[in-house]
Amino acid sequence: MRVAVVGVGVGGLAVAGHAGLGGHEVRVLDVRSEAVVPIQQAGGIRVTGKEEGFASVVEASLDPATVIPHADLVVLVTQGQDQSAAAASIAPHLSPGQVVLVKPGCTGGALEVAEVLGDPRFLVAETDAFVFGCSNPRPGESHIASIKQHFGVAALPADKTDDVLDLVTDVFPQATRAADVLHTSLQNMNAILHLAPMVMNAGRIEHEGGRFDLYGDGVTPSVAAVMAATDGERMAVALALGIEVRPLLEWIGVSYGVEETDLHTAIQRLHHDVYGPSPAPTTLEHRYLLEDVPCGSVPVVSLGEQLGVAVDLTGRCIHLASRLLGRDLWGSGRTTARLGLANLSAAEIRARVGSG
Amino acid sequence: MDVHTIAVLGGGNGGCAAAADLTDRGYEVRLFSRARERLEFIRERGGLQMTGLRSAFAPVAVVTDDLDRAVRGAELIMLAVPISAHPWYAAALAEILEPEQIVFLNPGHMGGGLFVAHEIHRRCGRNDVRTCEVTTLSYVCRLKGPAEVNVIRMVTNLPFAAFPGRFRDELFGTIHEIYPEVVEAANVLETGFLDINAVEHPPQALCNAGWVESTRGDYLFYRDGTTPSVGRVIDAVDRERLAIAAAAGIPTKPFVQIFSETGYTTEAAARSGSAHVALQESAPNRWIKGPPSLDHRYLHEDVGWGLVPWSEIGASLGVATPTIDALIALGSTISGIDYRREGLTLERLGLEGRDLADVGPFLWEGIS
Repeated sequence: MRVAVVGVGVGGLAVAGHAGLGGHEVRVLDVRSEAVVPIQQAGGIRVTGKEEGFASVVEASLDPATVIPHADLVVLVTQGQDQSAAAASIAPHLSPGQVVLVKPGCTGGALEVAEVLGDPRFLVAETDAFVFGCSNPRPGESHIASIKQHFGVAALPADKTDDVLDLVTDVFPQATRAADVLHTSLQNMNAILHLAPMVMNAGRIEHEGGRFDLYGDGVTPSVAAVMAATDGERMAVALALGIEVRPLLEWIGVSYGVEETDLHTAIQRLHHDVYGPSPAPTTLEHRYLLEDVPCGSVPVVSLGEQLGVAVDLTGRCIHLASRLLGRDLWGSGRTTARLGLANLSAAEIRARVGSG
Repeated sequence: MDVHTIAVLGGGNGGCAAAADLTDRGYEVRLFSRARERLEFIRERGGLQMTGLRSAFAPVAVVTDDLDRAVRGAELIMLAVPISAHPWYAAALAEILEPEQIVFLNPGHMGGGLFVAHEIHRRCGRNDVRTCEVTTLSYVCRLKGPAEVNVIRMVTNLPFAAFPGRFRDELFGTIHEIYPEVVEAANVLETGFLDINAVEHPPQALCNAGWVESTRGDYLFYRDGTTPSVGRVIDAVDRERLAIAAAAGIPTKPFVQIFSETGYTTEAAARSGSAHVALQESAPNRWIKGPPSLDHRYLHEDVGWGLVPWSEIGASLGVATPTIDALIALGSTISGIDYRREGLTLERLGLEGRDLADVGPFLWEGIS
């Protein structure tokens, strides 16, 4: 199969490398020449770790015209806040029937990308999580440290998910069907896991970032209380949309086998037993805020406000994060308008995503 | 009024500093505390040892846990207690206060006198109580032992106001005799809007909540905790405070200017306009560590009785206060106390239903 990977940062390199090792015809696109040139020069990507080998790449380019038209599956692997720009750059080169997989969608990735592409004949889908734990040891190289055993995929609308899965499972056999993009989007835990710890450790991050553990030290009972309260707001939005997602505490139990009755203890155990050291970022200018707020917290609050659900605390935390950074994270975020859901009722939103 | 006898209510840092200083300066002081065991040491020693500003042993005239005994016949009733104690004192004083007695809140923070006057009126219908206040405690001081207090210095340029305002000149004359450091402010909202603790402490505590809790405050709270980003939150709170005060017609000053004028930072740092810079250059605060937990006045007082009244006044004047409101929401979630209900609301200030753009006449006349 012909696979185009848009964005060859740390994640995109792993996706392209994995697809190439799987025998697929891989092309990659990026806006940064420093990401593209090493792949061009080597003719591919060296992969180490859980997968080993040299993955051929037939085209590494800055020009979407040389990459996008030749793909059966286009995989968008950028940070959430860059997904709409990436979508805009590839839109003129897509043809009806081509599949664009947003990986991962964060919250509202497929909806935002579909809105930017602006043509319902392009098939857009998103995953609920990224598949690799990976790093980028040298330019043009990917180290795959871990591979998720399963992740969910949902298309927009949901009745197209099986068509998308036919292609995706060719590259990722562990992909399974998720109910719809509301499920994949509202199960995104990153915003809950990062917003409160970043805001409530802001001074320490700036003063001694990297020298304390974001979860082990940073998630104290008060921070966990705010995480739990914002998680409750996410759950309330999901409930108003009539969909079932897991609370963070239960999600930790199911995903990692850490069964606890309170979030503070659960996250401390997650830290000790599963994650290991997680040094806090050295700056607030980090994807934990720059990605997870606009592409995680903002859509939850925007949906909540539209549906009359109380999302006050999450909204307040977004405001504080904006003040801490000195710029507006709401304005750049995925509001319902950007997701193409403005003024829609819960039932209309469900209809839009093909739910039920 | 000539003051000879002063009831000093409160046996903490401020109350003991005032009792020692005023006794040493020849006043008859009755020191009251609800904590009998605190008073035992002072009684045993026959008074308080004062160090710092002056070295003196102060044989405090009366040391008692009987409020009536402390208050009866005193010309001046000085409340030197945390805000959280104001409700108890207002209730206790309501019945025993004599008409000529002056209540002096040292400190009053944001709206202390309004609260006490309104609470006494609410409880027993009295509207003859004369209150006055300064924004912050007039002493920079710390208890060094159970009967020993170190008075480091007097706070200078201490804004003073009275409620009702029509007694201001008379009460200013009285207090100025005792504390020449006081300067007249227009009214109790002007002194209230100068309460810079509420500007800095909530951002410092909440944007470092994890740091406070995981180290029990073992870091330099002001200096290391007020990073550029935390400083930006303080600056945002301050802009909102200035906008509310402007809408209410209350003269006030930027945080950094107040901070510099009260001796907490340099003039050059104040000119930067940045709370971050002002805190880096703050010599008095430099080595102060964080609180041992978040169950602390930085939230209970500075959020509940500082940010909440500002937010409510802002709301009634149509001034948006998103940063103040965010800190109230976060503080309430952490402490489990709904500060918007439990804090100093417009209702508790006696300001509910009043036109706050034209509140001057009420602050002048008092409760009718």
